[in-house]
Amino acid sequence: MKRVIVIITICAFLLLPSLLLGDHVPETPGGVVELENHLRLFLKHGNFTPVAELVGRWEGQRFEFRYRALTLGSYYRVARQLKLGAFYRVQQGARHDDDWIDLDPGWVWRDTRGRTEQLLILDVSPRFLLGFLPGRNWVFMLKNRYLFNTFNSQHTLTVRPGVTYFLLRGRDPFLNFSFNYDLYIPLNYGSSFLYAHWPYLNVLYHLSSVVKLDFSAAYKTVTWSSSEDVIASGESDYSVKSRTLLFGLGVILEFEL
Amino acid sequence: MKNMKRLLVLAGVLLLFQSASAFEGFLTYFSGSISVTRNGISVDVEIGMPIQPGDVIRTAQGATVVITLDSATDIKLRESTTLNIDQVAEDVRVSLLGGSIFSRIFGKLRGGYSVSTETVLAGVRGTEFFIAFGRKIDDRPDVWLCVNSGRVKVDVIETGESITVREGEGINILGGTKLTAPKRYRWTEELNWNTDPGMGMVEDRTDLDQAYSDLLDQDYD
Repeated sequence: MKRVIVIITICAFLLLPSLLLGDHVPETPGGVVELENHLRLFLKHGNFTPVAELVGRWEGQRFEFRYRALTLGSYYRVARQLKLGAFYRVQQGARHDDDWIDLDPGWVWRDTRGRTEQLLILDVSPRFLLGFLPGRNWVFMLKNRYLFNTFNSQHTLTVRPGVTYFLLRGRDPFLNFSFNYDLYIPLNYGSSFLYAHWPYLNVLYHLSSVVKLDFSAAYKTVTWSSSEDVIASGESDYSVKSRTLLFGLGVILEFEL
Repeated sequence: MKNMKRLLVLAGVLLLFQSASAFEGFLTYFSGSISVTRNGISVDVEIGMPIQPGDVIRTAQGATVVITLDSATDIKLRESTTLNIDQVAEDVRVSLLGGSIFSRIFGKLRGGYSVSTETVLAGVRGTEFFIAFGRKIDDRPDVWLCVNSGRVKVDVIETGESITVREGEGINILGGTKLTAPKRYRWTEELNWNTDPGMGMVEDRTDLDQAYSDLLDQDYD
């Protein structure tokens, strides 16, 4: 009898969140690890730096290859401490609030791997040397981006302050150590001020003047807000946080034209 | 007998004259503000004036000077440069005390040609190269050297290390004492090697800061 009571208590404890929140609320299991790979190409030509980037990400509890994106564009150096950028991105596998759908019965995340979305991105990145820090090789950058998703007309502002230390060999960078904090601010969607945010550490190794290898680790928090289907169904609103450990591995190629 | 004596004296005079004119140096071009100091005294500067061992030539900001030594070597001084003409006997030796110079050996030198800084000695036999002081990041400034034609042997006076820099290559001697591997540097392609005003512009305005990685120009995403 005692054992039965214990088992019922444990089950109730586990089921309590969904009992309170309902099945219409997406689950956000903890301890999920994701992996992102990227290949980036930079072509330096005077003040212009055309860029091409290919990204792929393994996501979710089942570690599935879902998100992939191709970004093309260019930076332009307006002043020594300021670069502007404009980019076009085509992506598949992105997940938005409204992808939490009512199957009636049951709720699932829509499989968006076959859905193509196009984004326009503008970038403003001022950067400064922090000469007062020991080593004289510290740079602070505030990367700001505006993204417009033509698929769902979502406008997003991302702000990323970051500090990088350049370890030099001779007079050229050899190893970079960066700490950044990414903030995703939804301008016309979501119910929270921050749609997503994550601190991340990055180490970049200059294998040669052309090839760089980088590794990053981020602790990502995404806030999911009520989807259209939830609102339409009359269920209670929700705002749930999903937390994942995101590791990144990439190759960067840089050519001077 | 008298005629023989006269001939001997004439030969002697000719030999003496040749010795006396063994070294000829001239200022062949200048623009902007420059000075030539001889025995501690500033002399009037004009194109065609002789340049002598011991002369110290200085260029102000924006100025350029071309001197020709021993009818075999052109030296072009960029702006803000100080060059000492050390010796011209069998060998031509100059000391770069600040700034940067181009050296072009176009004729047959009697001996060798070398440029020295406080810490580096660059010696050549028939070549064209550029040497410059870089940034002072360590105790002493870096010394840059790049070769347009021929080869240059670089000796670090303090450590005794030496290296040969080949045509198309450059080298940065860190703090004037630490040799790095010679390699091709993109920024050296912008250098203006011309020392003849009759062939076009002589001034070189290459920004030597390009030689260094600009930490504010690094983007990785």
